[in-house]
Amino acid sequence: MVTLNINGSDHTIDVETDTPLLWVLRDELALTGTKYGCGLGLCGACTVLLDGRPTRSCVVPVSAVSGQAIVTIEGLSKDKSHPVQRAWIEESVPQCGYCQSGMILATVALLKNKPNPTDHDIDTNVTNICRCGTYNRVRKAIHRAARMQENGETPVGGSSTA
Amino acid sequence: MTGKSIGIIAGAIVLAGLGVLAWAAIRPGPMAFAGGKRATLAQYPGSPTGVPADLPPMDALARAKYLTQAADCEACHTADGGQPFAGGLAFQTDFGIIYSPNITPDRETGIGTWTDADFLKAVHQGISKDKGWLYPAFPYAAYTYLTDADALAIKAYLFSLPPQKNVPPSTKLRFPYNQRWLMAIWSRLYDPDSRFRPVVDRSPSWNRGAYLVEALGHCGDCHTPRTALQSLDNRHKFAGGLSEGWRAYNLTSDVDSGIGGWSREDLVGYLTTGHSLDRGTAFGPMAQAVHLSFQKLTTADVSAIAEYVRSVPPVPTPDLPAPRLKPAPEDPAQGVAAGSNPRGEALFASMCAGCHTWTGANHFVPHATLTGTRAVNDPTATNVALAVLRGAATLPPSADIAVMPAFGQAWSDDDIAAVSNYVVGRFGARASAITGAQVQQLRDGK
Amino acid sequence: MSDITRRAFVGGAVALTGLTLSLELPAQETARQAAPGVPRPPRTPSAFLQIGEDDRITIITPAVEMGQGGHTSLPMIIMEELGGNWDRLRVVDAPAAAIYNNPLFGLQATVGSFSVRGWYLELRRIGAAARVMLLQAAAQTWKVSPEHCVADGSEVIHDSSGRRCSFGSVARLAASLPIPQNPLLKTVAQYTMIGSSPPRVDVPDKVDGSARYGIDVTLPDMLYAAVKTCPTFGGKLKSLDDSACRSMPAYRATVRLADGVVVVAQSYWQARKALERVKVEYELGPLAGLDSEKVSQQLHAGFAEPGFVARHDGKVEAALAGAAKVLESVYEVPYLAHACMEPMNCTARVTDAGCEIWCGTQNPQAAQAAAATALGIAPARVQVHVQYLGGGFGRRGEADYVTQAVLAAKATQGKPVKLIWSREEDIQHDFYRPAAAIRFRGGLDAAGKLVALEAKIISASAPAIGRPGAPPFFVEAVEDANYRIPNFYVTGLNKDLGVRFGFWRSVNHSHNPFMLEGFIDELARAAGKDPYLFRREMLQHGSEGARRQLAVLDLMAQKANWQHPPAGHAFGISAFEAFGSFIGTIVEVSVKDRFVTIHRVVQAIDCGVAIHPDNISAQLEGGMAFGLTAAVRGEITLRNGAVMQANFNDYPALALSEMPLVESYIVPSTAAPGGVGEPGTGPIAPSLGNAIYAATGQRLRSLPLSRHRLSLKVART
Repeated sequence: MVTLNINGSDHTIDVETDTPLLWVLRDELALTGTKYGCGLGLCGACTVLLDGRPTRSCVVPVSAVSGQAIVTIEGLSKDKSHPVQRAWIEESVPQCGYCQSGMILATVALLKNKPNPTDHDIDTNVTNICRCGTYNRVRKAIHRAARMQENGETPVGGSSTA
Repeated sequence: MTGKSIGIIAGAIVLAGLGVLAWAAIRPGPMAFAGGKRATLAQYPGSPTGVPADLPPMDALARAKYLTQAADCEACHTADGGQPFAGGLAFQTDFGIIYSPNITPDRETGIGTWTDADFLKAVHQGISKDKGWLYPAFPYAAYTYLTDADALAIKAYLFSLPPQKNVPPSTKLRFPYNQRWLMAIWSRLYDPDSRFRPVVDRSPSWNRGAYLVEALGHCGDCHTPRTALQSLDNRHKFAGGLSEGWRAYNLTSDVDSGIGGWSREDLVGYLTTGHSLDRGTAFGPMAQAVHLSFQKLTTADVSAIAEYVRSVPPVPTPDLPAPRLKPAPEDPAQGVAAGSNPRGEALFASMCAGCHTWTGANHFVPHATLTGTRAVNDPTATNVALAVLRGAATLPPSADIAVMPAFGQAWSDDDIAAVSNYVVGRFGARASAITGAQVQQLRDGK
Repeated sequence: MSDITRRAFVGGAVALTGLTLSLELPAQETARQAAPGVPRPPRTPSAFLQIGEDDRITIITPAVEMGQGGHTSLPMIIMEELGGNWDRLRVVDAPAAAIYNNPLFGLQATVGSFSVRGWYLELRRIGAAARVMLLQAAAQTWKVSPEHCVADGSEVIHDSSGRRCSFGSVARLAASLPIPQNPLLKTVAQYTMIGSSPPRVDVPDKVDGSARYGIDVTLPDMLYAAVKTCPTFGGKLKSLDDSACRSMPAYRATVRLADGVVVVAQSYWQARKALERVKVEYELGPLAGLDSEKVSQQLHAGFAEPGFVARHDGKVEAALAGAAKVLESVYEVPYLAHACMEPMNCTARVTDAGCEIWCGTQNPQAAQAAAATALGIAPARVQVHVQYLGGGFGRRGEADYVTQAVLAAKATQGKPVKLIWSREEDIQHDFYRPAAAIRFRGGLDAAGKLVALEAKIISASAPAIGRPGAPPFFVEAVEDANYRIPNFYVTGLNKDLGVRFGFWRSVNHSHNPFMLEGFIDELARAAGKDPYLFRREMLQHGSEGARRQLAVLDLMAQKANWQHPPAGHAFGISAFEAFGSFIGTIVEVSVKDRFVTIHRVVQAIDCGVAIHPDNISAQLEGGMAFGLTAAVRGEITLRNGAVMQANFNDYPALALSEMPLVESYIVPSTAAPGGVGEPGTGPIAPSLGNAIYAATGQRLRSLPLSRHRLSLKVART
């Protein structure tokens, strides 16, 4: 049995300790916003925040994360109102959208550490793979979200660790 | 000058030359470092040979399998993707390629017609019934220390396997190395052809460790540097060697460049799991050795090996710094001089950071931690480059959470060099400058 | 053109009241859908558009959503004529049914950038018909003339009195009125919605994890399945030993496939772990000796084998013989994988009543047929629930993973099974973009004019669909080139090497333009001419295609300032017709120490009427990125009959840091819409190759760049 703190709530789950956090989220807790893309930590579709740090949940055994605050895409806001989410909508970033949960969480973490990221900061910190080629819009939306956060627009609802 | 003085000078030169040759040729044995009084096995009250006392009860064949695993015959006698023990693994040497023979009991292509005496002759003296003199790629100078009983137990295990028809490619070395009879000289110089003799004043577990290491595990064949004549330079025992291009690092008790800073638990953990936190993760041939051999041994045996290895006196490897134990900063923009290796940084960001993190410390998957590992604290970046090229390919695929994949197929030599230098520079004690050309050599197995 | 007829209304699969309700088609209707040659049934507006009394507009779209905007652009067409309010819109995927067959090629498939092209007129008629009925209903209620009523923003407005009512308030009455057969359609000049860029309907759900893809489907009592299949093409399962997984508590079932094994368990991770424990032996089959070298050899051997003639203008042999200068070049490209971000998957439930499947698919009918075949039941008993696709690119037009899921679901006594491919399985069991080779010969006269061009194309190809008499796909982009070349001879040899192939984004436009536009560039250089002007010359002949391609060429050249590349930089250019549109790209590069730096990409498209300009520019950029990845490092290689690549470590994608600055331009046009999803993929490779030549003098006749030890750098100035 393992207890996880996800988006502010505790969940106790009966699952083998070496199960990757990704599959616990998806299959045991029906939190399917976090995606499977490669299983090797290479693509970032499975990105969650672990105590605020962007972490690829497909290479994290669930036993290693009890006691840490986990934030998934579902936990950013109740109503798509997080500045990053709003910037994503305003720039119409997603195409197929499958990579975007991870992309958004990587961005949330980046903006926490660097509220005014340079393009180079974005290059090294947002390395999620997108096969639809939305990268230039991602970049634009990151700058936009940075400006929104600078203007004091804070996330509404959802987890306070975001 | 007079004829007489010329003769004296000539004689002195010859004598000096012979002395040098003698010094060069006659080398200390692998246990010489321990000093002490040696006994024969008959004289020795303990039993450092055979299977360990803490082995659960099993039949003779299972015990024989244990010894075969301790000797790790399978690693060298199995080709990539081939049947176990059926031979065909290629050993790239400076003299050409040596292929391991088929040691399954097939009568035509394996050793099915060998008698006990044939087997002992091969294992103890390096003489094959089929090929004549064997090259020391086969570590018979180590296996010579096996008791007859243990060697024949291994034979019995091999003969219990299903015979496999396989004719490996012919070993072709360039002249004069293709003259096998020259190996007779090598054997005379370097194979004592005598069985293991324990050191009386050392503990039974130390002696058990000695037998496991010298007669079975033959660790020195990778971890001891070789002389020009390809014998083991036991004056620098365990100071490091090469294995299939990988650096087999210094196992002496030197603190900076060896394992002098490792605890007994570190070493036992490394051998049994292939990983020790802040020390390293076994890769390449060592990963295979862990998987095929060390993981099959009992706790007491691994402990004995650790005791023995840790008793080897310190010999430094000059190019290896003391490992850096402090993780790198979390911020990618810090920890490496900005703009010093943009290509390496970009590749690391894309392909590596997801598992290995920017700090080098992975608390969720400890064996992905780079901080403190010897490979990263090696300014030649050899093992880092090989790990990136080949991944953890020698381990069988499993549903384990993270097995490092190979990047050599898709990325160029220059790319591999750039990211290797980035890794060593960011996480290690001293920067590296491996080049694309050097990576190509590693890639080609040279 | 089909008649718009009323169909029998039998309640509604979607519980709405109001305008034309029925979604359930009679059983006979659905049974006819797969039969070729069956006359297309008349289109029922209700199958596409429903307006509820709550004023909600539900559009059932025949195009799936894989990121290309299908759930937005098709509804826009209906809404334009309807006069509906975009905020009231809800979009659902169509079920598998013949009524959703694309008018252009007769299948219900979102492929070939055909959706807007095929549905443009039909959907306008449906929207217009509904508008007319709503106006009539309101006019009737107000006792005024419908000619004085207009529809706008989901309201009917009486122009003289200003009276308004919502669509919803008159929907029920409108539903009882006759359906007009030939409603008046708007002119392009009257468009208010088409040509604007309303918010895409799928975007909000894609920023909070609520968008549901096939892999996300969750049902009560659902089990999970993992699968592995023989690594060689055409191999078969010989034996399996699953004794090691039967003791796992989460294990549920083992299902044998002809070429592999499925393991069903309580969760996906358990299914994967169990699958690892299954010992499998394969009969590797006749292709076990195939490797990439042999593939290349067989392609090249095809040059000496007879093919078919795809185009024959003039007398090319004589023209070459008389030419002042003759060039010959051979080009080649490798296999490519799709690597959709969402690996293949399908959820299936099999009961006595029939079968239900949930998956992302570009071809619901193919999914339905595959399930029906696997179960030996009539297609009418298979219901397909289309989900969002985490990438399609042509891969999800296949139904191999549907068959697997259905067979797995047979073994679970009616419990649904979600079958998920690992990334490794996904890369190694793709329907690859085929490898191809073209041998060109070109002849220039003394004035440097191209007087003769001969091309022999060797590849594996599917036959043309929906275009009787059309040549198979693999000669497109060459045999239909718009250049006027007096002697133009194109032959092709359709050579199936046994490697499983399929449709990859832009199909043969993903590589034939690389080869043709590369050779055209070689000819331009041999003629001592500017590559842009050389192409211009051949597009002067006034056909519609030439005219429009020329306009794209000229627009790009102007925007890029072709005549004046910055110091140390070089341009490369290509342009061609694809999917009913005209596309071109100029790339600006500099090359140093084996690094190709892309400074800028300029794209231009003439896609006729531009439905959603913002989406078009997104598709151009995205398509370009897809093509750029392939050009730089995309290569599927074979050894011992198996694919050597497995995951993103050895089939790497383009990174965000590698995405160049892109400018996209849309040529204003009132022509019928052309395709937009795929054209952007094709031109980047030839333009990049031509730019590298301009910068270095090195001509690349094969891809990817990594094969030539070239790497990519992006300058972000």
